[in-house]
Amino acid sequence: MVMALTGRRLRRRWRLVATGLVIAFFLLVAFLPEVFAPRSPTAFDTARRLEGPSRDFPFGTDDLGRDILSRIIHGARPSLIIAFGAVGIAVVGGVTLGMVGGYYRGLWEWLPMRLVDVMLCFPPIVLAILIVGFLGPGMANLVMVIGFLYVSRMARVVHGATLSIRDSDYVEAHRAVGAGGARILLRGILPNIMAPVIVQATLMLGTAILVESGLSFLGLGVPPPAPSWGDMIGRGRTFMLNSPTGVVFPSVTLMVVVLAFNLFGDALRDHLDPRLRGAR
Amino acid sequence: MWGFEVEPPPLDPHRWGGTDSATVIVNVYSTLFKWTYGEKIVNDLVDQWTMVSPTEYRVRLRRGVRFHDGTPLTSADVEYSLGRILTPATGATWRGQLAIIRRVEVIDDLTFRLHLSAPIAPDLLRELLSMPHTAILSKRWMAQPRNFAVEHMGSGPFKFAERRHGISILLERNPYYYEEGRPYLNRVLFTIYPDEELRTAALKTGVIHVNHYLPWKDIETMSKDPGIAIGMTDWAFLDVTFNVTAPPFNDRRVRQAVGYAVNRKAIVDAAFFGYGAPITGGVLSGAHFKGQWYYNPDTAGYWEYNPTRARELLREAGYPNCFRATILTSGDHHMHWVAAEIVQAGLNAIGCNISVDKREWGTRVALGNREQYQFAINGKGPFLSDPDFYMTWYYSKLAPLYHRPAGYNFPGLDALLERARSLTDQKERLALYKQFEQEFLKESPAIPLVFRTQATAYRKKVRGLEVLRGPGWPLTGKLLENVWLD
Amino acid sequence: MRAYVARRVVTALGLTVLVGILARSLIHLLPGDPVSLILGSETAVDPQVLRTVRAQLGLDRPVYAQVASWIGGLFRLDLGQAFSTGQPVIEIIAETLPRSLYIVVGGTLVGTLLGIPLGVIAALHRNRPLDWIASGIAALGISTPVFVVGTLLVLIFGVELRWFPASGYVGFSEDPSAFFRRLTLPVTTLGFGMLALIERMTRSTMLEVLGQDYVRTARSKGLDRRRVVYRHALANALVPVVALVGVELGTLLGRTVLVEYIFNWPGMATMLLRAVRFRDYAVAQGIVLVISLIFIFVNLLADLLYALLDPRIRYE
Repeated sequence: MVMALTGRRLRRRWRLVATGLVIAFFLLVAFLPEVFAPRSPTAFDTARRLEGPSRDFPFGTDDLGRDILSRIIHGARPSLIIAFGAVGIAVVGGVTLGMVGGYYRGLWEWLPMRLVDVMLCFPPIVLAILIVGFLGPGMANLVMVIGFLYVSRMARVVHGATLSIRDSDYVEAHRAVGAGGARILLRGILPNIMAPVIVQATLMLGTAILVESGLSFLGLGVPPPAPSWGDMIGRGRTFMLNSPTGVVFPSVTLMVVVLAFNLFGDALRDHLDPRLRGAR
Repeated sequence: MWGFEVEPPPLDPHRWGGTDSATVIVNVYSTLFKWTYGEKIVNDLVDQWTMVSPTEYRVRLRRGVRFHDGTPLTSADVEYSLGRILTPATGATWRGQLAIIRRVEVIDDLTFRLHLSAPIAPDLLRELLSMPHTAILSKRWMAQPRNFAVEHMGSGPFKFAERRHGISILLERNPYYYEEGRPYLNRVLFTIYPDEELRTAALKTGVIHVNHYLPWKDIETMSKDPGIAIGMTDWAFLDVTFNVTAPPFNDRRVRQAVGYAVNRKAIVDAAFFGYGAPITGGVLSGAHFKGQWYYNPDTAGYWEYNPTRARELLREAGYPNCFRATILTSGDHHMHWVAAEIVQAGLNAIGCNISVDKREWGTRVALGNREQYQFAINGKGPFLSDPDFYMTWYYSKLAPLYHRPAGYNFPGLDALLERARSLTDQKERLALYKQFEQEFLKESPAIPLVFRTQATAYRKKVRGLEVLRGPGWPLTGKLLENVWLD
Repeated sequence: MRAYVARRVVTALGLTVLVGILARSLIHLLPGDPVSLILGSETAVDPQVLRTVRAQLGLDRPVYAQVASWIGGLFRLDLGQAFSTGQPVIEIIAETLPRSLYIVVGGTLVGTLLGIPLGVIAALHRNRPLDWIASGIAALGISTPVFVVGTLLVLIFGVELRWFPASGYVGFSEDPSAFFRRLTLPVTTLGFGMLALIERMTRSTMLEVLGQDYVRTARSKGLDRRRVVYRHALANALVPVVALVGVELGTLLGRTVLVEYIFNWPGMATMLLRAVRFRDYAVAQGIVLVISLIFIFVNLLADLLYALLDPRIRYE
């Protein structure tokens, strides 16, 4: 019995550790791309454009004849900055708006949630085109745009979750001991809505990079020569018929990272949420 | 059966709305002259054309031409149509080019006199009057307000039948067409495919028969398809324009340094998959102009990829460590931003710090029109088989326009263009254009980069179609009246 | 309850007008002039021509006057006219909205019908191969952009195998079978991304519910496992999923931008993208207005459904 329990716990830890290691590896690559990249991400040779994998270029070359592997490695930093930056904005903004809107009634429910509605009414790509249009392209602007797009989505999720527990005994208990609004939100509600927030946030990490690739597909990604995975996918799609590696390798990389984030998120939530410990 | 890139705007026959829109207009309307096989300009509505003096022509119209409603086309319709172009309220694209027309004097139903305010090269005038924007409308039909998005009344080989917004435009055979037996086709359907991939797929699967704008990346694969023919011609080109009033590009040596720092061959490879050619001198030095009276090989070889020379020029200009600058380009067109990236790479290789500002097309146009940029990539297509096309791009007495250099003001260059336009002798004109190109290279307010090859792909069962070369390319659709399907 | 609904409806209407005005202001902030975009890109345009056309389109008036006349028009159900084609905006919407709804509703159905069972399976087989497979499919769905999925489908099923037409649109009334054949690929593309989101959400809420006391109590009372899962757990787990579908259905209309683009589907999102690109103010404004109307009302419905499904939520 004891053995079985530790075994299961170990396995749970193991998942956390394994996915954590994958993420740590990508972070390391993002910090030190020069160490990992075999070539310069910007040096081009148009005579060797759109080649398949070879000894010189393990992942092939892009439309300018640049090494795709090196670009993926150098693309880790901008891509992760976009993902984490945008999701960071979304979590802070969305949790605040959603909790306030879910917990309070009257004006304080009305105002944040209607604000969210207005934001959600704009199709993301179109809103992104509009904002990038007058802010101009650039990394910081991209992070802001995508973060802004996600605030409203996060807020909806948090709002729903908050609504479902605002009258629970647990929150009631906090209220009974005379806790103030901020304290109830932070101590009573926040821990109990972490599960959907984590799931949503890990989903967003992947999709944030995709929003960028959509923008890039429409010609509005991260300005060159800085490579980003989204930009590579958007650009690779144009030449998919000529050479599929330009879209396959960045997509697979993105998929691995998304999968790692999702599994890490699941494991983390299992770990944090005491109710799930004995489940199944 | 014909794939379009964008949905044509309302198709006012006197306004330029892009190549696709022109393809519709040239088939619905007739003009005084028209383009045909071999890039020749032949009579369309005109039967006889006599020069009375350099500023007066006597014109007799073709007998028996009727509009799609069966009413005859007369001199009054020509008078009305040219008058409509010259009325500012119309917003006709070529009002400026045709402003030399003083008036049309109607003599009888089929005869009129064209009075000009100044002499103009006769071939140039004929060519101007062959452009889709000089379509002859029915005066009677135009008496009521009309919506060109959905209705048209011309005398061309096909009549406008139906527009399905965002999907297609359908033309049907004009039974009254003046040429007996033509057109052969009963219906022509233009379908809109904004995505290149889809347009190519549609041609491959036979959903459309003609793709007038085949992406360069698909030329090689499509040419292997036994059912598909491809016609190619060099047509438009890319250049870099500078804001010549602000540092660092207010110094001609810095502008020239850019000309030497760019690897033009790399642009031809990356942007056009090798289907194009570096421009090593003035635009008229392009090899595809060989055989034309205005071909000017004198300046060829002026530009070369020479980073050392570029570095020297920068040192002379007082920028030994180069400079920081931003190049404006369009994010909607792969060729534009790839060219910008190669300019960026070339300059960064000699120590500059260049960033690329990739903007959505509308924004890019607006920033250009406001002259809010340091240097920029542009695409330019000559619409005339006459070097007068230089007027459009490098004539500084016009309002700022996004593809003209910013702060551009070179009276010497303007004078050469004005004079070359007014002469009737081709040799004298050529001498002036040669001089213009020399001076232009010296100042370099803009630096031509590469020509691009325009490819039109069509299924082999489409007979009678041929790609018009050079400036005729956008008007290839005019040949539809001679086309049949096997 | 009825008062609550009435209040929400009134608010919703107010919000949509606000969104419309906001949309117009945002496009105005974007540099670019509809006239120079309409008049084409490769020839020089006479400045006087520009002025004339601007006046014809009413663009010479101050922005606030343009907005005011737009609001005035709302009462007559007149959303203005497209600069590019002269067609009334309301007509454009009537024509293109159903086309977009076909693929949005189809995609949502595909995504929901496949996503919920997949999520349930993943939750029941947590940390076992079936869960991993489901998670893998979801990760693929999340990390592959629609334009890549769409292009692949076109190339495989449209060009190589020729099972389905690569693109284009045929109305249902014109030819029902051609209509459905053309609908297949866009719906699949949209559904694939949706499936991933729903799978993740279902899995996580299922797990949460399965861990809760009442489910455990039910289990310990010796109730049939299947019954517990489907009657108790699933019903509760679906509440947030319904909310998600609600949020998504509205936003999917906008998210179809890329799908419509890739499949050359002449829907409302395509029109919106074009309107933004060519600064066709009235069209963009009108379409955003309609999307927000749909969005706000779908969400209102989702909220009410929420209350119906989850007894813990009350509205007053």
